[in-house]
Amino acid sequence: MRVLLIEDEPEMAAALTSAFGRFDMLIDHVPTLAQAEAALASGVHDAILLDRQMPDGDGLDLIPKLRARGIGVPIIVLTARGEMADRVAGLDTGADDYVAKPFAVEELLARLRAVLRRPGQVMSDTLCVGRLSFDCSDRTASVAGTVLDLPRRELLVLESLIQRMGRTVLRASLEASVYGFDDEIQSNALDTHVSRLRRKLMDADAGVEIHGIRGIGYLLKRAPQ
Amino acid sequence: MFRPTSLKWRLVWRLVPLQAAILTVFVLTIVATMREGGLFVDDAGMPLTTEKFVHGLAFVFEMVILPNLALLTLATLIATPIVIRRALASLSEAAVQAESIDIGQPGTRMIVASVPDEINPLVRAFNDALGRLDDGYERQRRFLADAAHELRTPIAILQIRLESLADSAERTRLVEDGARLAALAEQLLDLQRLSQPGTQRARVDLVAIGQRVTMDLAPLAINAGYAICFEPEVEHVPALGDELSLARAVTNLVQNAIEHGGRHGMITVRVGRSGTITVSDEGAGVPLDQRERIFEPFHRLQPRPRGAGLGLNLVQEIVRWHHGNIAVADAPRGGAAFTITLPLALPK
Repeated sequence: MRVLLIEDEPEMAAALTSAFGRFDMLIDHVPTLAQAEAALASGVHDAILLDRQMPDGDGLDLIPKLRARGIGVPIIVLTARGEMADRVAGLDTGADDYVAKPFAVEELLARLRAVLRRPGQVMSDTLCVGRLSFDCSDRTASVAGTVLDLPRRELLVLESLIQRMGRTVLRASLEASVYGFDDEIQSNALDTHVSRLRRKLMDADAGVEIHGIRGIGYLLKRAPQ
Repeated sequence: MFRPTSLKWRLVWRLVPLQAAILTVFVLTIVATMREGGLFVDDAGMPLTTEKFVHGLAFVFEMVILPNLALLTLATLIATPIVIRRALASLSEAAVQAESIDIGQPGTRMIVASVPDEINPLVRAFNDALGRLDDGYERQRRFLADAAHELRTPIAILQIRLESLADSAERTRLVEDGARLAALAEQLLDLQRLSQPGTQRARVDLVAIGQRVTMDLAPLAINAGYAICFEPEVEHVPALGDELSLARAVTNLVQNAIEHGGRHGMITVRVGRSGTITVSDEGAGVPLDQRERIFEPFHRLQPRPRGAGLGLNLVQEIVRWHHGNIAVADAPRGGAAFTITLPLALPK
Protein backbone atom coordinates (compact mmCIF):
# COMPACT_ATOMS: atom_id res chain seq x y z
CA MET A 1 0.00 0.00 0.00
CA ARG A 2 1.27 3.44 -0.90
CA VAL A 3 0.33 6.48 1.12
CA LEU A 4 0.99 10.14 0.39
CA LEU A 5 1.94 12.02 3.53
CA ILE A 6 1.42 15.79 3.31
CA GLU A 7 3.23 17.19 6.34
CA ASP A 8 5.53 20.18 6.75
CA GLU A 9 7.35 18.95 9.86
CA PRO A 10 10.31 16.88 8.56
CA GLU A 11 10.89 15.10 11.86
CA MET A 12 7.26 14.07 12.08
CA ALA A 13 7.37 12.81 8.48
CA ALA A 14 10.53 10.82 9.14
CA ALA A 15 9.07 9.26 12.29
CA LEU A 16 5.81 8.31 10.53
CA THR A 17 7.65 6.94 7.50
CA SER A 18 9.75 4.60 9.61
CA ALA A 19 6.77 3.61 11.78
CA PHE A 20 4.65 2.74 8.74
CA GLY A 21 7.56 0.91 7.18
CA ARG A 22 7.15 -1.75 9.86
CA PHE A 23 3.69 -2.47 8.51
CA ASP A 24 4.84 -2.76 4.90
CA MET A 25 3.41 0.57 3.91
CA LEU A 26 5.22 2.81 1.50
CA ILE A 27 5.12 6.49 2.37
CA ASP A 28 5.75 9.32 -0.07
CA HIS A 29 6.30 12.53 1.77
CA VAL A 30 5.69 16.06 0.43
CA PRO A 31 6.21 19.18 2.57
CA THR A 32 3.82 21.59 0.77
CA LEU A 33 0.31 21.57 -0.65
CA ALA A 34 1.61 22.57 -4.08
CA GLN A 35 3.89 19.56 -4.22
CA ALA A 36 1.04 17.38 -2.99
CA GLU A 37 -1.08 18.37 -5.98
CA ALA A 38 1.75 17.48 -8.33
CA ALA A 39 2.42 14.15 -6.60
CA LEU A 40 -1.24 13.13 -6.73
CA ALA A 41 -1.30 13.57 -10.49
CA SER A 42 0.66 10.31 -10.71
CA GLY A 43 -2.37 8.44 -9.35
CA VAL A 44 -0.34 5.79 -7.56
CA HIS A 45 -1.51 6.47 -4.01
CA ASP A 46 -4.07 4.44 -2.10
CA ALA A 47 -4.58 6.99 0.65
CA ILE A 48 -3.62 10.49 1.77
CA LEU A 49 -2.55 11.65 5.23
CA LEU A 50 -3.05 15.38 5.29
CA ASP A 51 -1.70 17.79 7.90
CA ARG A 52 -3.77 20.94 8.37
CA GLN A 53 -1.20 23.56 9.19
CA MET A 54 0.88 23.73 6.03
CA PRO A 55 3.25 26.55 5.06
CA ASP A 56 1.18 27.33 1.94
CA GLY A 57 -2.27 27.19 3.54
CA ASP A 58 -4.83 25.13 5.43
CA GLY A 59 -4.62 21.49 4.36
CA LEU A 60 -8.40 21.31 4.26
CA ASP A 61 -8.46 23.63 1.23
CA LEU A 62 -6.73 20.94 -0.80
CA ILE A 63 -9.61 18.48 -0.45
CA PRO A 64 -12.25 20.19 -2.64
CA LYS A 65 -9.61 20.78 -5.31
CA LEU A 66 -8.74 17.08 -5.41
CA ARG A 67 -12.36 16.00 -5.43
CA ALA A 68 -13.03 18.45 -8.30
CA ARG A 69 -10.26 16.79 -10.27
CA GLY A 70 -11.95 13.43 -9.72
CA ILE A 71 -9.37 12.13 -7.25
CA GLY A 72 -11.39 9.97 -4.85
CA VAL A 73 -8.51 8.63 -2.79
CA PRO A 74 -9.48 8.42 0.90
CA ILE A 75 -8.09 11.26 2.97
CA ILE A 76 -7.32 11.26 6.68
CA VAL A 77 -6.75 14.71 8.14
CA LEU A 78 -4.10 15.06 10.85
CA THR A 79 -4.45 18.06 13.06
CA ALA A 80 -3.11 19.46 16.29
CA ARG A 81 -6.43 21.09 16.94
CA GLY A 82 -8.57 18.67 18.88
CA GLU A 83 -11.74 20.70 18.97
CA MET A 84 -15.05 19.30 17.86
CA ALA A 85 -15.80 22.21 15.51
CA ASP A 86 -12.62 21.46 13.60
CA ARG A 87 -13.62 17.85 13.31
CA VAL A 88 -16.90 18.75 11.70
CA ALA A 89 -15.13 21.19 9.37
CA GLY A 90 -12.77 18.36 8.37
CA LEU A 91 -15.52 15.93 7.49
CA ASP A 92 -17.67 18.55 5.74
CA THR A 93 -14.93 19.34 3.28
CA GLY A 94 -14.86 15.73 2.15
CA ALA A 95 -12.19 14.21 4.34
CA ASP A 96 -12.85 10.56 5.17
CA ASP A 97 -11.61 10.70 8.70
CA TYR A 98 -9.80 12.85 11.14
CA VAL A 99 -7.05 12.06 13.67
CA ALA A 100 -6.03 14.57 16.33
CA LYS A 101 -2.37 14.96 17.20
CA PRO A 102 -0.88 13.46 19.19
CA PHE A 103 -2.11 10.10 17.99
CA ALA A 104 -0.94 6.51 18.39
CA VAL A 105 0.47 4.93 15.24
CA GLU A 106 -1.80 1.95 15.74
CA GLU A 107 -4.78 4.29 15.90
CA LEU A 108 -3.79 5.91 12.63
CA LEU A 109 -3.24 2.51 11.01
CA ALA A 110 -6.63 1.33 12.19
CA ARG A 111 -8.32 4.42 10.75
CA LEU A 112 -6.39 3.96 7.52
CA ARG A 113 -7.53 0.37 7.24
CA ALA A 114 -11.09 1.43 8.02
CA VAL A 115 -11.28 4.05 5.25
CA LEU A 116 -9.63 1.69 2.78
CA ARG A 117 -12.23 -0.94 3.56
CA ARG A 118 -15.19 1.26 2.80
CA PRO A 119 -17.19 0.35 -0.32
CA GLY A 120 -15.46 1.60 -3.42
CA GLN A 121 -12.01 1.33 -1.92
CA VAL A 122 -9.60 -1.48 -2.62
CA MET A 123 -7.96 -3.24 0.24
CA SER A 124 -6.94 -6.80 -0.23
CA ASP A 125 -4.01 -7.15 2.06
CA THR A 126 -3.51 -9.72 4.73
CA LEU A 127 -3.26 -8.59 8.31
CA CYS A 128 -0.60 -10.26 10.40
CA VAL A 129 -0.12 -10.28 14.13
CA GLY A 130 2.09 -12.71 16.01
CA ARG A 131 2.07 -15.90 13.96
CA LEU A 132 -1.53 -15.32 12.90
CA SER A 133 -2.44 -14.01 9.49
CA PHE A 134 -5.91 -12.98 8.44
CA ASP A 135 -6.89 -12.64 4.82
CA CYS A 136 -9.57 -9.97 4.64
CA SER A 137 -10.70 -10.81 1.11
CA ASP A 138 -11.94 -14.33 1.86
CA ARG A 139 -11.95 -14.11 5.70
CA THR A 140 -9.57 -16.93 6.44
CA ALA A 141 -7.31 -17.10 9.45
CA SER A 142 -4.15 -19.16 9.38
CA VAL A 143 -1.20 -19.85 11.62
CA ALA A 144 2.07 -20.68 9.89
CA GLY A 145 0.29 -21.63 6.69
CA THR A 146 -2.35 -23.86 8.34
CA VAL A 147 -5.87 -22.50 7.94
CA LEU A 148 -7.83 -22.47 11.20
CA ASP A 149 -11.24 -24.01 11.13
CA LEU A 150 -13.38 -21.29 12.73
CA PRO A 151 -17.16 -20.84 12.61
CA ARG A 152 -18.44 -17.73 10.82
CA ARG A 153 -19.19 -15.69 13.94
CA GLU A 154 -15.80 -16.36 15.47
CA LEU A 155 -14.22 -15.29 12.19
CA LEU A 156 -16.25 -12.08 12.26
CA VAL A 157 -15.13 -11.41 15.83
CA LEU A 158 -11.53 -12.08 14.86
CA GLU A 159 -11.82 -9.80 11.83
CA SER A 160 -13.12 -6.91 13.92
CA LEU A 161 -10.45 -7.37 16.54
CA ILE A 162 -7.56 -7.80 14.13
CA GLN A 163 -8.55 -4.72 12.14
CA ARG A 164 -8.04 -2.70 15.29
CA MET A 165 -5.25 -4.79 16.71
CA GLY A 166 -3.59 -3.35 19.76
CA ARG A 167 -6.61 -1.12 20.37
CA THR A 168 -9.85 -1.51 22.24
CA VAL A 169 -12.96 -2.57 20.32
CA LEU A 170 -16.23 -1.62 21.99
CA ARG A 171 -18.57 -4.46 22.78
CA ALA A 172 -21.36 -2.74 20.85
CA SER A 173 -19.32 -2.49 17.68
CA LEU A 174 -18.26 -6.16 17.96
CA GLU A 175 -21.91 -7.16 18.33
CA ALA A 176 -22.82 -5.01 15.36
CA SER A 177 -20.27 -6.74 13.17
CA VAL A 178 -21.15 -10.25 14.34
CA TYR A 179 -24.93 -10.13 14.40
CA GLY A 180 -27.37 -8.98 11.77
CA PHE A 181 -30.32 -6.73 12.52
CA ASP A 182 -32.66 -9.69 12.85
CA ASP A 183 -30.46 -11.78 15.09
CA GLU A 184 -31.54 -12.07 18.65
CA ILE A 185 -28.50 -11.38 20.78
CA GLN A 186 -28.18 -13.18 24.05
CA SER A 187 -26.36 -11.18 26.64
CA ASN A 188 -23.37 -13.49 26.97
CA ALA A 189 -23.30 -14.89 23.44
CA LEU A 190 -20.46 -12.63 22.40
CA ASP A 191 -18.40 -13.64 25.40
CA THR A 192 -18.91 -17.29 24.48
CA HIS A 193 -17.66 -16.67 20.93
CA VAL A 194 -14.65 -14.78 22.22
CA SER A 195 -13.67 -17.37 24.79
CA ARG A 196 -13.94 -20.17 22.21
CA LEU A 197 -11.91 -18.13 19.74
CA ARG A 198 -9.33 -17.37 22.41
CA ARG A 199 -8.93 -21.06 23.23
CA LYS A 200 -8.56 -22.02 19.58
CA LEU A 201 -5.96 -19.35 18.97
CA MET A 202 -4.05 -20.52 22.03
CA ASP A 203 -4.22 -24.17 20.93
CA ALA A 204 -2.93 -23.19 17.50
CA ASP A 205 -0.08 -21.24 19.17
CA ALA A 206 -1.05 -18.14 17.17
CA GLY A 207 1.05 -15.80 19.30
CA VAL A 208 -1.85 -13.44 20.01
CA GLU A 209 -3.83 -12.64 23.14
CA ILE A 210 -7.43 -11.48 23.46
CA HIS A 211 -8.01 -9.37 26.55
CA GLY A 212 -11.45 -8.69 27.92
CA ILE A 213 -12.10 -5.22 29.33
CA ARG A 214 -15.18 -5.52 31.49
CA GLY A 215 -17.67 -2.77 30.80
CA ILE A 216 -15.92 -1.81 27.55
CA GLY A 217 -15.12 -4.61 25.12
CA TYR A 218 -12.14 -6.58 23.90
CA LEU A 219 -8.62 -6.05 22.65
CA LEU A 220 -6.40 -8.29 20.56
CA LYS A 221 -2.65 -7.92 20.78
CA ARG A 222 0.49 -9.79 20.02
CA ALA A 223 1.55 -12.06 22.89
CA PRO A 224 4.82 -10.99 24.51
CA GLN A 225 7.67 -13.14 23.26
CA MET B 1 -5.74 55.20 68.80
CA PHE B 2 -3.09 57.93 69.01
CA ARG B 3 -0.19 55.71 67.98
CA PRO B 4 2.95 57.65 67.03
CA THR B 5 2.68 56.42 63.42
CA SER B 6 -0.92 57.52 63.03
CA LEU B 7 -1.89 60.58 61.06
CA LYS B 8 -3.91 61.89 64.07
CA TRP B 9 -0.89 61.83 66.35
CA ARG B 10 1.25 63.62 63.80
CA LEU B 11 -1.36 66.31 63.28
CA VAL B 12 -2.01 66.90 67.02
CA TRP B 13 1.72 66.90 67.70
CA ARG B 14 2.21 69.73 65.22
CA LEU B 15 -1.07 71.65 65.79
CA VAL B 16 -0.97 72.05 69.58
CA PRO B 17 2.46 73.83 69.86
CA LEU B 18 1.49 75.94 66.85
CA GLN B 19 -1.76 76.96 68.52
CA ALA B 20 0.08 77.69 71.78
CA ALA B 21 2.55 79.95 70.01
CA ILE B 22 -0.16 81.82 68.09
CA LEU B 23 -2.27 82.32 71.21
CA THR B 24 0.67 83.58 73.25
CA VAL B 25 1.81 86.01 70.56
CA PHE B 26 -1.79 87.20 70.12
CA VAL B 27 -2.41 87.93 73.82
CA LEU B 28 1.00 89.48 74.37
CA THR B 29 0.51 91.78 71.36
CA ILE B 30 -2.79 93.01 72.77
CA VAL B 31 -1.30 93.59 76.21
CA ALA B 32 1.74 95.43 74.82
CA THR B 33 -0.48 97.65 72.67
CA MET B 34 -2.63 98.49 75.67
CA ARG B 35 0.48 99.49 77.67
CA GLU B 36 1.73 101.72 74.85
CA GLY B 37 -1.69 103.43 74.85
CA GLY B 38 -1.17 104.15 78.57
CA LEU B 39 -4.10 102.05 79.58
CA PHE B 40 -2.20 100.49 82.49
CA VAL B 41 -1.86 102.86 85.56
CA ASP B 42 -1.42 102.21 89.28
CA ASP B 43 -3.73 103.36 92.06
CA ALA B 44 -2.06 106.78 91.99
CA GLY B 45 -2.69 107.20 88.25
CA MET B 46 1.02 106.74 87.40
CA PRO B 47 2.21 104.40 84.60
CA LEU B 48 3.15 100.93 85.88
CA THR B 49 6.71 100.09 86.76
CA THR B 50 8.25 97.33 84.62
CA GLU B 51 8.39 95.10 87.66
CA LYS B 52 4.64 95.44 88.27
CA PHE B 53 3.89 95.05 84.56
CA VAL B 54 5.81 91.71 84.37
CA HIS B 55 3.96 90.60 87.45
CA GLY B 56 0.70 91.49 85.68
CA LEU B 57 1.78 89.57 82.59
CA ALA B 58 2.29 86.41 84.64
CA PHE B 59 -1.24 86.92 85.92
CA VAL B 60 -2.59 87.25 82.35
CA PHE B 61 -0.69 84.12 81.30
CA GLU B 62 -2.13 82.13 84.15
CA MET B 63 -5.71 83.38 83.87
CA VAL B 64 -6.13 83.78 80.09
CA ILE B 65 -3.53 81.97 78.03
CA LEU B 66 -3.28 78.68 79.96
CA PRO B 67 -7.03 77.99 80.20
CA ASN B 68 -7.50 78.87 76.54
CA LEU B 69 -4.59 76.67 75.58
CA ALA B 70 -6.09 73.79 77.51
CA LEU B 71 -9.39 74.35 75.74
CA LEU B 72 -7.69 74.49 72.31
CA THR B 73 -5.75 71.29 72.99
CA LEU B 74 -8.90 69.50 74.02
CA ALA B 75 -10.73 70.75 70.93
CA THR B 76 -7.86 69.63 68.70
CA LEU B 77 -7.76 66.20 70.29
CA ILE B 78 -11.46 65.76 69.66
CA ALA B 79 -11.69 67.37 66.24
CA THR B 80 -8.61 65.87 64.57
CA PRO B 81 -9.79 62.23 64.50
CA ILE B 82 -13.17 63.34 63.18
CA VAL B 83 -11.64 65.48 60.44
CA ILE B 84 -9.22 62.78 59.44
CA ARG B 85 -11.85 60.06 59.48
CA ARG B 86 -14.08 62.14 57.20
CA ALA B 87 -11.21 62.96 54.87
CA LEU B 88 -10.15 59.36 54.55
CA ALA B 89 -13.64 57.88 54.28
CA SER B 90 -13.31 57.74 50.52
CA LEU B 91 -10.20 55.58 50.94
CA SER B 92 -12.19 52.71 52.39
CA GLU B 93 -14.04 52.56 49.06
CA ALA B 94 -10.67 52.24 47.35
CA ALA B 95 -9.75 49.53 49.83
CA VAL B 96 -12.83 47.52 48.83
CA GLN B 97 -11.69 47.80 45.21
CA ALA B 98 -8.23 46.68 46.19
CA GLU B 99 -9.76 43.64 47.91
CA SER B 100 -11.18 42.49 44.59
CA ILE B 101 -7.80 42.57 42.85
CA ASP B 102 -6.90 38.98 42.05
CA ILE B 103 -4.66 37.08 39.67
CA GLY B 104 -7.74 35.59 38.00
CA GLN B 105 -9.07 39.05 37.11
CA PRO B 106 -6.37 41.04 35.40
CA GLY B 107 -7.20 44.62 34.48
CA THR B 108 -8.78 45.54 37.84
CA ARG B 109 -7.77 49.07 38.94
CA MET B 110 -8.58 51.38 41.86
CA ILE B 111 -10.79 54.35 40.92
CA VAL B 112 -8.94 57.66 41.33
CA ALA B 113 -11.98 59.99 41.35
CA SER B 114 -13.19 59.21 44.88
CA VAL B 115 -9.80 59.62 46.54
CA PRO B 116 -8.61 62.97 48.09
CA ASP B 117 -6.26 64.86 45.77
CA GLU B 118 -3.32 64.46 48.14
CA ILE B 119 -3.56 60.67 47.95
CA ASN B 120 -4.13 60.57 44.20
CA PRO B 121 -0.43 60.18 43.31
CA LEU B 122 -0.23 57.08 45.51
CA VAL B 123 -3.28 55.49 43.92
CA ARG B 124 -2.02 56.34 40.44
CA ALA B 125 1.38 54.87 41.19
CA PHE B 126 -0.31 51.78 42.61
CA ASN B 127 -2.45 51.44 39.48
CA ASP B 128 0.63 51.78 37.29
CA ALA B 129 2.32 49.04 39.31
CA LEU B 130 -0.76 46.85 38.83
CA GLY B 131 -0.53 47.46 35.11
CA ARG B 132 3.09 46.32 35.06
CA LEU B 133 2.18 43.19 37.06
CA ASP B 134 -0.69 42.42 34.66
CA ASP B 135 1.67 42.71 31.70
CA GLY B 136 4.23 40.50 33.35
CA TYR B 137 1.63 37.92 34.29
CA GLU B 138 0.20 37.93 30.77
CA ARG B 139 3.68 37.45 29.30
CA GLN B 140 4.29 34.51 31.62
CA ARG B 141 0.91 33.01 30.84
CA ARG B 142 1.52 33.29 27.13
CA PHE B 143 4.98 31.82 27.53
CA LEU B 144 3.59 28.80 29.38
CA ALA B 145 0.89 28.30 26.76
CA ASP B 146 3.38 28.66 23.90
CA ALA B 147 5.83 26.32 25.60
CA ALA B 148 3.15 23.66 26.16
CA HIS B 149 1.99 24.11 22.58
CA GLU B 150 5.52 23.86 21.21
CA LEU B 151 6.03 20.65 23.18
CA ARG B 152 3.16 18.94 21.38
CA THR B 153 4.87 18.27 18.07
CA PRO B 154 8.15 16.91 19.46
CA ILE B 155 6.18 14.77 21.92
CA ALA B 156 4.02 13.43 19.09
CA ILE B 157 7.16 12.61 17.09
CA LEU B 158 8.72 10.99 20.14
CA GLN B 159 5.61 8.86 20.69
CA ILE B 160 5.59 7.68 17.08
CA ARG B 161 9.28 6.76 17.29
CA LEU B 162 8.77 4.89 20.56
CA GLU B 163 5.84 2.96 19.12
CA SER B 164 8.02 1.94 16.20
CA LEU B 165 10.51 0.21 18.51
CA ALA B 166 10.49 -3.58 18.66
CA ASP B 167 8.42 -5.10 21.46
CA SER B 168 10.20 -5.18 24.79
CA ALA B 169 9.63 -4.34 28.42
CA GLU B 170 11.66 -1.20 27.82
CA ARG B 171 9.40 -0.14 24.95
CA THR B 172 6.34 -0.62 27.13
CA ARG B 173 7.83 1.70 29.76
CA LEU B 174 8.94 4.25 27.20
CA VAL B 175 5.51 4.34 25.56
CA GLU B 176 3.98 4.88 29.02
CA ASP B 177 6.38 7.73 29.71
CA GLY B 178 5.61 9.27 26.32
CA ALA B 179 1.88 9.09 27.03
CA ARG B 180 2.39 10.76 30.42
CA LEU B 181 4.47 13.50 28.88
CA ALA B 182 1.79 14.11 26.26
CA ALA B 183 -0.95 14.18 28.92
CA LEU B 184 1.01 16.69 31.01
CA ALA B 185 1.51 19.04 28.08
CA GLU B 186 -2.17 18.75 27.19
CA GLN B 187 -3.22 19.44 30.78
CA LEU B 188 -1.08 22.56 30.92
CA LEU B 189 -2.87 23.71 27.77
CA ASP B 190 -6.24 22.79 29.33
CA LEU B 191 -5.50 24.97 32.34
CA GLN B 192 -4.46 27.85 30.11
CA ARG B 193 -7.65 27.46 28.11
CA LEU B 194 -9.85 27.25 31.21
CA SER B 195 -8.22 30.34 32.73
CA GLN B 196 -9.39 32.44 29.79
CA PRO B 197 -12.30 34.61 30.88
CA GLY B 198 -15.62 33.44 29.48
CA THR B 199 -14.83 29.71 29.33
CA GLN B 200 -18.16 28.01 29.88
CA ARG B 201 -19.12 24.74 31.48
CA ALA B 202 -21.33 22.58 29.30
CA ARG B 203 -23.42 19.48 29.84
CA VAL B 204 -21.22 16.40 29.77
CA ASP B 205 -21.86 12.73 30.45
CA LEU B 206 -19.42 11.33 32.99
CA VAL B 207 -20.20 7.78 31.84
CA ALA B 208 -19.20 8.64 28.27
CA ILE B 209 -16.01 10.30 29.51
CA GLY B 210 -15.10 7.34 31.73
CA GLN B 211 -15.79 4.89 28.94
CA ARG B 212 -13.68 6.74 26.41
CA VAL B 213 -10.73 7.11 28.76
CA THR B 214 -10.87 3.43 29.78
CA MET B 215 -11.04 2.45 26.14
CA ASP B 216 -8.12 4.66 25.15
CA LEU B 217 -5.88 3.60 28.01
CA ALA B 218 -6.73 -0.12 28.03
CA PRO B 219 -3.83 -1.03 25.68
CA LEU B 220 -1.37 0.86 27.89
CA ALA B 221 -2.71 -0.77 31.07
CA ILE B 222 -2.77 -4.27 29.58
CA ASN B 223 0.76 -3.93 28.22
CA ALA B 224 1.89 -2.86 31.67
CA GLY B 225 0.50 -6.09 33.17
CA TYR B 226 -2.89 -4.94 34.50
CA ALA B 227 -6.44 -5.94 33.82
CA ILE B 228 -8.71 -2.94 33.44
CA CYS B 229 -12.46 -2.56 33.70
CA PHE B 230 -15.16 0.08 33.58
CA GLU B 231 -18.09 0.08 36.02
CA PRO B 232 -20.77 2.72 35.45
CA GLU B 233 -23.37 2.68 38.20
CA VAL B 234 -26.05 4.00 35.83
CA GLU B 235 -26.25 4.59 32.07
CA HIS B 236 -25.74 8.35 32.10
CA VAL B 237 -24.43 10.77 34.71
CA PRO B 238 -24.94 14.33 33.44
CA ALA B 239 -22.59 16.90 34.96
CA LEU B 240 -21.46 20.43 34.13
CA GLY B 241 -17.96 20.75 32.81
CA ASP B 242 -15.40 20.99 30.07
CA GLU B 243 -15.25 17.61 28.36
CA LEU B 244 -11.67 17.69 27.06
CA SER B 245 -10.06 18.74 30.31
CA LEU B 246 -12.17 16.32 32.38
CA ALA B 247 -11.22 13.42 30.11
CA ARG B 248 -7.58 14.43 30.50
CA ALA B 249 -7.90 14.59 34.28
CA VAL B 250 -9.30 11.04 34.35
CA THR B 251 -6.59 9.98 31.88
CA ASN B 252 -4.01 11.34 34.29
CA LEU B 253 -5.51 9.31 37.17
CA VAL B 254 -5.46 6.10 35.11
CA GLN B 255 -1.86 6.77 34.07
CA ASN B 256 -1.05 7.38 37.72
CA ALA B 257 -2.61 4.00 38.58
CA ILE B 258 -0.59 2.35 35.80
CA GLU B 259 2.60 3.88 37.15
CA HIS B 260 2.04 3.24 40.86
CA GLY B 261 -0.31 0.25 40.93
CA GLY B 262 2.44 -2.32 41.27
CA ARG B 263 2.05 -3.62 37.70
CA HIS B 264 -0.44 -6.32 38.71
CA GLY B 265 -4.12 -6.66 39.51
CA MET B 266 -7.09 -4.67 38.31
CA ILE B 267 -7.44 -0.99 37.51
CA THR B 268 -11.09 -0.02 37.89
CA VAL B 269 -12.75 3.11 36.51
CA ARG B 270 -16.08 3.59 38.26
CA VAL B 271 -18.71 6.27 37.62
CA GLY B 272 -21.21 6.92 40.41
CA ARG B 273 -24.70 8.34 40.02
CA SER B 274 -23.88 11.16 42.43
CA GLY B 275 -21.35 12.65 40.02
CA THR B 276 -18.20 10.75 40.93
CA ILE B 277 -15.45 9.18 38.86
CA THR B 278 -13.22 6.83 40.82
CA VAL B 279 -10.00 5.29 39.56
CA SER B 280 -8.67 2.52 41.81
CA ASP B 281 -5.76 0.11 41.63
CA GLU B 282 -4.50 -2.81 43.72
CA GLY B 283 -1.06 -1.45 44.49
CA ALA B 284 0.40 -0.23 47.76
CA GLY B 285 -2.03 2.67 48.14
CA VAL B 286 -1.29 6.08 49.61
CA PRO B 287 -0.40 6.32 53.34
CA LEU B 288 -2.84 8.36 55.46
CA ASP B 289 -0.39 11.16 56.27
CA GLN B 290 0.36 11.69 52.57
CA ARG B 291 -3.19 11.98 51.32
CA GLU B 292 -3.39 15.75 51.39
CA ARG B 293 0.13 16.38 50.26
CA ILE B 294 0.17 14.30 47.10
CA PHE B 295 -1.89 17.01 45.42
CA GLU B 296 0.72 19.65 46.12
CA PRO B 297 2.86 20.50 43.11
CA PHE B 298 6.07 18.49 42.82
CA HIS B 299 5.22 16.18 45.69
CA ARG B 300 6.16 12.51 45.36
CA LEU B 301 5.84 9.62 47.73
CA GLN B 302 9.43 8.63 47.19
CA PRO B 303 12.01 10.46 45.19
CA ARG B 304 12.32 8.43 42.02
CA PRO B 305 13.80 8.99 38.62
CA ARG B 306 10.53 8.79 36.70
CA GLY B 307 7.11 10.29 37.02
CA ALA B 308 6.29 13.96 37.36
CA GLY B 309 5.25 15.66 40.57
CA LEU B 310 2.94 17.97 38.69
CA GLY B 311 0.38 15.47 37.46
CA LEU B 312 -1.97 15.20 40.45
CA ASN B 313 -1.73 18.91 41.07
CA LEU B 314 -2.92 19.57 37.52
CA VAL B 315 -5.83 17.18 38.06
CA GLN B 316 -6.75 19.06 41.23
CA GLU B 317 -6.54 22.42 39.47
CA ILE B 318 -8.84 21.21 36.70
CA VAL B 319 -11.30 19.70 39.19
CA ARG B 320 -11.28 22.97 41.18
CA TRP B 321 -12.14 24.92 38.05
CA HIS B 322 -15.18 22.65 37.83
CA HIS B 323 -16.17 23.47 41.45
CA GLY B 324 -15.58 19.81 42.25
CA ASN B 325 -13.14 18.09 44.53
CA ILE B 326 -10.69 15.23 44.48
CA ALA B 327 -9.69 12.90 47.29
CA VAL B 328 -7.76 9.70 47.68
CA ALA B 329 -8.83 6.78 49.88
CA ASP B 330 -8.18 3.07 50.21
CA ALA B 331 -9.52 0.92 47.40
CA PRO B 332 -11.57 -2.15 48.44
CA ARG B 333 -8.58 -4.38 47.81
CA GLY B 334 -5.95 -2.20 49.39
CA GLY B 335 -4.76 0.00 46.55
CA ALA B 336 -5.34 3.70 46.02
CA ALA B 337 -8.78 4.98 45.00
CA PHE B 338 -8.84 8.50 43.60
CA THR B 339 -12.31 10.01 43.43
CA ILE B 340 -13.27 13.13 41.51
CA THR B 341 -16.65 14.55 42.55
CA LEU B 342 -18.38 17.00 40.23
CA PRO B 343 -21.58 19.00 40.50
CA LEU B 344 -24.39 17.25 38.67
CA ALA B 345 -26.19 18.99 35.84
CA LEU B 346 -29.83 19.76 36.45
CA PRO B 347 -32.20 17.45 34.60
CA LYS B 348 -33.24 18.93 31.27
